[in-house]
Amino acid sequence: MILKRKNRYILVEASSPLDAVAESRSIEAAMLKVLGELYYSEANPKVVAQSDPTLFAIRVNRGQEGRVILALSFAREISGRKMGLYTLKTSGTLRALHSLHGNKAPKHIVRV
Amino acid sequence: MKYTDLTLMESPDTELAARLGFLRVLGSIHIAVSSSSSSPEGPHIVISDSQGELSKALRESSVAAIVVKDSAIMRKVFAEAAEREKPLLLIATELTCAEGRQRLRNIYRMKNLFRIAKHAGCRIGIVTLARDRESMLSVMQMIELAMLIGATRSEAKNMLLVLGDNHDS
Repeated sequence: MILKRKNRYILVEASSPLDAVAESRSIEAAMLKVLGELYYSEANPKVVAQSDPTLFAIRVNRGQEGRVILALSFAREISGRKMGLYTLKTSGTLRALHSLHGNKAPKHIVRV
Repeated sequence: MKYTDLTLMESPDTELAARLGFLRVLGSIHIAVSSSSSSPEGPHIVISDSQGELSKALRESSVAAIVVKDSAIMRKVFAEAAEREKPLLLIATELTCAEGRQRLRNIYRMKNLFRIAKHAGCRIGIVTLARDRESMLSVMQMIELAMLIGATRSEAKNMLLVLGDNHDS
């Protein structure tokens, strides 16, 4: 039997334009700093898509989205730039996130 | 939901606040924040670490809410606030803008503050008091922060409504 891994997608807005896919390592490092290795491995957050210079989506393991939202609140700097990261919505699928957010959220996963 | 946030900015970005889930965001032009109960004329919020100053502030009708500065735990003030139905505000940026050990201390202090104020029957709210755009937070983030300091999900949602109710009246 193959167990399906359930994910949650978090729509994030940055306070200033950011190439989230290219700078995914910096965003993930900022989350790792707050979550620590244990919680990070449980949540496994990954930047998966970007639709707008300030809007991007993060995929996390289901049940861990609360911790990732907190980690994003505590992250104040991305690649040495002062930045605020606001979490707007969470959803079980990227497509639902897209339709929930007035078709502005990313629709397809970008392979990073 | 009438989620309301309070910032220290003169004219907060209302479009951003709406995207973040707030119906209204108050700036320093709406509510003044002072360290003494009698300085501003209109509705204001008093931030102090002095028990006498906060007790005095609670008796003023123009004081909308109080904020306890530093690690002072004032059971009497919380009981008085509960009696006069004035809310105690917790500052979210104390958690988000601090780093390392300072953040740990702030989390510990706010957990204690929340627990004791709740026990005293005081209404508790949470606001960002953001000085800039980067320090603002979304409703989801505020709810998670409130849950971090010991609130349940429904209590956390009510904490975001406290200022809105008060400002209406």
